[in-house]
Amino acid sequence: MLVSLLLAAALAAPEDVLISELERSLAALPQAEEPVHYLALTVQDRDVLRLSASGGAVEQRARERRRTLDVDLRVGTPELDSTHALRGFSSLETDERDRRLVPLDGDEALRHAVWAEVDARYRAASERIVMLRSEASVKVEEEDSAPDFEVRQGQVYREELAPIAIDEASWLATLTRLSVTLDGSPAVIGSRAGLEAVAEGDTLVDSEGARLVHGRTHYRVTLAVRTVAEDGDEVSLVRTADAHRVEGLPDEAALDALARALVDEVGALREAPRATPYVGPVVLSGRATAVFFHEIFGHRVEGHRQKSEDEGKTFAERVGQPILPDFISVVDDPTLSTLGGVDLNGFYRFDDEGVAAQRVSLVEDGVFQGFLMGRTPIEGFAASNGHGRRSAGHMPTSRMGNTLISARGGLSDEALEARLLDEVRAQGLPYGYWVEDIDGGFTQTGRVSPNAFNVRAVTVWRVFPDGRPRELVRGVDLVGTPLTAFDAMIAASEQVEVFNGTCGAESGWVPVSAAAPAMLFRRLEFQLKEKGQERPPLLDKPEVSP
Amino acid sequence: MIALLIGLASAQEPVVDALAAELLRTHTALHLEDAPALYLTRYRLLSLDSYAASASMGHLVSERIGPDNTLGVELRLGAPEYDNTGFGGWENGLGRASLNEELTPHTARLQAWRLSDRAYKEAVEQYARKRAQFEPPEDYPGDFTLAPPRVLSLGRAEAAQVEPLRALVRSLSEAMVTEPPLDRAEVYLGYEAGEEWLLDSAGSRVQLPHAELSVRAVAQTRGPDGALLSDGELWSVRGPGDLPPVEELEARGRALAEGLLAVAAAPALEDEYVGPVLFEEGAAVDLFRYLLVGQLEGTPGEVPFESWLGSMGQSKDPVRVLRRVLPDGWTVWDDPSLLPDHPGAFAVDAEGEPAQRVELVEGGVVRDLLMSRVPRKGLSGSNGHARGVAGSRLEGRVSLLEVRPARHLGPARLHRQALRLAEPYGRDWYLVVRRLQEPAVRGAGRLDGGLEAGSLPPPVAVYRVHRDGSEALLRGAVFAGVQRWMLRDIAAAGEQVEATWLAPLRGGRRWSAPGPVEGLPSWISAPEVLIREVELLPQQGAQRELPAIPPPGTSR
Repeated sequence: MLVSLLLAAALAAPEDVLISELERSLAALPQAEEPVHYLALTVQDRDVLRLSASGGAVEQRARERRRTLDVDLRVGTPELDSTHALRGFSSLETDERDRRLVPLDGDEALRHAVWAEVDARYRAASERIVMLRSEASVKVEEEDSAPDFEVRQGQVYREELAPIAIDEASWLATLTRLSVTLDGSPAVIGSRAGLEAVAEGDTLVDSEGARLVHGRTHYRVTLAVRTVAEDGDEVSLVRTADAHRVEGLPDEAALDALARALVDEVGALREAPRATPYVGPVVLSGRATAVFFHEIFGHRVEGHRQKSEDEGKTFAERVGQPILPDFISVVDDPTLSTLGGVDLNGFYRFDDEGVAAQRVSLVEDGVFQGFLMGRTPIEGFAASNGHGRRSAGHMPTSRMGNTLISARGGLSDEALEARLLDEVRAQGLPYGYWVEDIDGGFTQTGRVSPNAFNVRAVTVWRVFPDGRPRELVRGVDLVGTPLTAFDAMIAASEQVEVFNGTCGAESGWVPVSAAAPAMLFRRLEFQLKEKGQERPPLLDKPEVSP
Repeated sequence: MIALLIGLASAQEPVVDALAAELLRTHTALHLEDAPALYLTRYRLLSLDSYAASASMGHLVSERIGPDNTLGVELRLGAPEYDNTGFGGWENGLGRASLNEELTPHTARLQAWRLSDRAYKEAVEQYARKRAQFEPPEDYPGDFTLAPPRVLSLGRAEAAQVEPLRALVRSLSEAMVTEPPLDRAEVYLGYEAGEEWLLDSAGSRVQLPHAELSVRAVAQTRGPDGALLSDGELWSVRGPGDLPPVEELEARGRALAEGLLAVAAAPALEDEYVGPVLFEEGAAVDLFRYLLVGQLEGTPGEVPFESWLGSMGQSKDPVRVLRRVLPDGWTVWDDPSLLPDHPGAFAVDAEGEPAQRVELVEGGVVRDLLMSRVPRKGLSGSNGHARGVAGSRLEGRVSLLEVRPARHLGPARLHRQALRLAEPYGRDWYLVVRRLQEPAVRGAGRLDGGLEAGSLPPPVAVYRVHRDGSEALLRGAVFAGVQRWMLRDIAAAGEQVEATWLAPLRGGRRWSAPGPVEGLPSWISAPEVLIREVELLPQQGAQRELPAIPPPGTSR
């Protein structure tokens, strides 16, 4: 057995090294051909502990320490700089930032890595600006003429970074016991109980004087089960619990109850009939509504999309106009750490461009107020509101943090179901649907492909107006186009639910949360979900006592 | 070190028993009506402790430690004469999966059940695809060779402590720090030790020790014209105790880095060169590694599956027995037991077959090939050279290869002969190549570095050697028009040299090792050789790659 402790390096990079290399680079670069108008160096330290168990035994016990360097170097001027999008054939030129791994400690090694990356970024930026200037004289004027970068006064903030604090042995034992519960049914083909603990520290210095050291810890328990129905449909269910501190996670009894419910649910789903395409009244639970808003609304109010000539710009001309029913308001507030006792994954103090996170009102009483902004201005929105985000190796864009949907005049669940059945009757349909759970979704916001969305439904109940009990169904996803769907919201519940997740887009994967009440839609559409083609296992699950 | 490997009992016997039970259930009960029956089911379990790390300038960049358990399954249905394998496509009855770090009978059996079920269904479909598209010719050699069951236990390898390895990657990378600094000066290490189990439905149950430690130093910089220059060093051994002393490793790391700086400062080859080239030191071994080894590995490629994605199947250079590959009088053999302490040595191959010395080339002509239990026309049966990752189609691969010329010349006579060969080209000098750039160093960590079969990577540097023996270092040369026939054009052979290298894996990656040290440890002993005519071209520079900012100073 290999026995060792992994390196316990500091979670914050040596700020003085970054500052001195920043200053050295700035002193060296102006003599070169293209002037640098902005330079930021960010080192992201990430310590991840992954524990998991399956079948009553430890599946993984892994600790990973990683330090990545990101360089934001812009040549040209804030009005037109090297990050501006290229058009036409020139857009084949790549400006992908590299996710450069750097040594976990050692000043000299970090200094060398910063030099190499700044130099590479400068050479790439110098090539791009030449193409951009030429493009400005050849191509038509762009729809959005806002500058490429917002100049700011750098902020100074340093916080004490917390390490991962967890009793590994105790959690492994808990996860192992939970994995026995999850493995308990013959119908379950695969299952897993896992815990991921993350401690992150970002150190950012820039040419505007920003000096930031900030970070976060996050803990997530995941319970997952998988089965295959007789018709080949793969049914996977995942439940997660998130907390900023390990003490905030549910205790073992609660997790065990969750695991048992999960096993029962996956067994029921395996036997449930597949639904068919449908259009009619639908209620999305709070979690489902939260994801729905994140996908269908949230990505369309990301400011940088209004700058691109390829984007659909659903709301670019709608500021000050109603875009949602007047009982709905939406804010994005990354400064919120907790909501209703649930820790929010989208909490942060500073964004990845060194700007303090801010609460942003997006929709008030149905009227559109403005966009989520990073430091890329758009017409009418010159300043960042602290939403420039990215994962290592990507250029920040405006992204969501904690997206909170609220509704006036919320109903109890019973009253909401009654409204649903009223709608079903009014439309002369035999049944409606209540979507209890989803596992994600995606949307297209560009101009080339249809501006459609897909929300992946998992647990769906068919509800009948004639008093019959609810019927569980599977095999459908929610699809549609945004403006039509927004227009169809007619009522909401009073109870708000939280969805914690991770969102992937052009600037990488970032932690997010969304919270919403359950929502009744007059009409939504279901399409058939992709179905597996493999038969369930031919032999019975082997029986060996864990 | 090898003495430590033998005789350690396995802690995995209950797990292996559970796998054997699942294998038996799979083989006897897994059957679909109208589908041919399974005639062989094989499981391969690797239960290893692993450590991987990388470092730069004396500091760790990444590190991974932990158990690494893998199960490979191989299901063959039909008959050995014609089964579901040997046909293109990836859903073919073979598969592998990572197992729990804590191996228990229950979890191992669960994974075996899932893997076997999937592999069986894929095997049934693959067999049908093959039947539909491929009618075997009369002289088709078949897909597999049956062999008696093997029962053998050679114990397991005990893993060493990690701390010295961590210290090594740090200190070796520290030794490579230069002033001015290289663009890249990195060290990668992969270590695994434990046991391997082979089980099959014929009753085989083989336990083998497994221990490999590979360390690679990577150096990269740019010439004054922006051209990429790289060099590397590899140490591949069984365990930490088999490495040279740390001081020696550091000295070699230092020499590697400083040598590359010297290359960067050297003048570039300006004109095309056609004429004799003397391959010395590692370049001599590499010449045979790139141009000869592929002609000796006899497992046939797969029949392509014609799909709308195009032809799927291994594109493999045809191998021929009775082909002349070397000058008259040369001999080549591969003997996995030649150097018992070498990580490429084995007593029993990955199919449980006893390793054999194989006389591959006699009189410069191929007489035999390295084989697994997959036959080829004229060669049925294994000669104990099956190597590869778990859950892949195991092929006959090189292990410890000896290349012997008809006669050796001393350095002075080689020099004179090279000058004689240079005369018709109007020169009184010739070129010597001592090291080739390692694809795993130059490329993005891939052992083949995207190199096409039968070609050569660029030299690290070339030396212009004059009549008086004086040398001038030149950088920036690349080979042109290299083909395997070049080996027939060997004019003379010098002293015997040897080197270890990592052969690229086929059919999957190993999860425990970082890219630059992933591969099958192999070894070649071969003579330095003078080739009658080789073409070298000046390498195109890349001005846009030159630094715009001067590097920071180091403490050197």
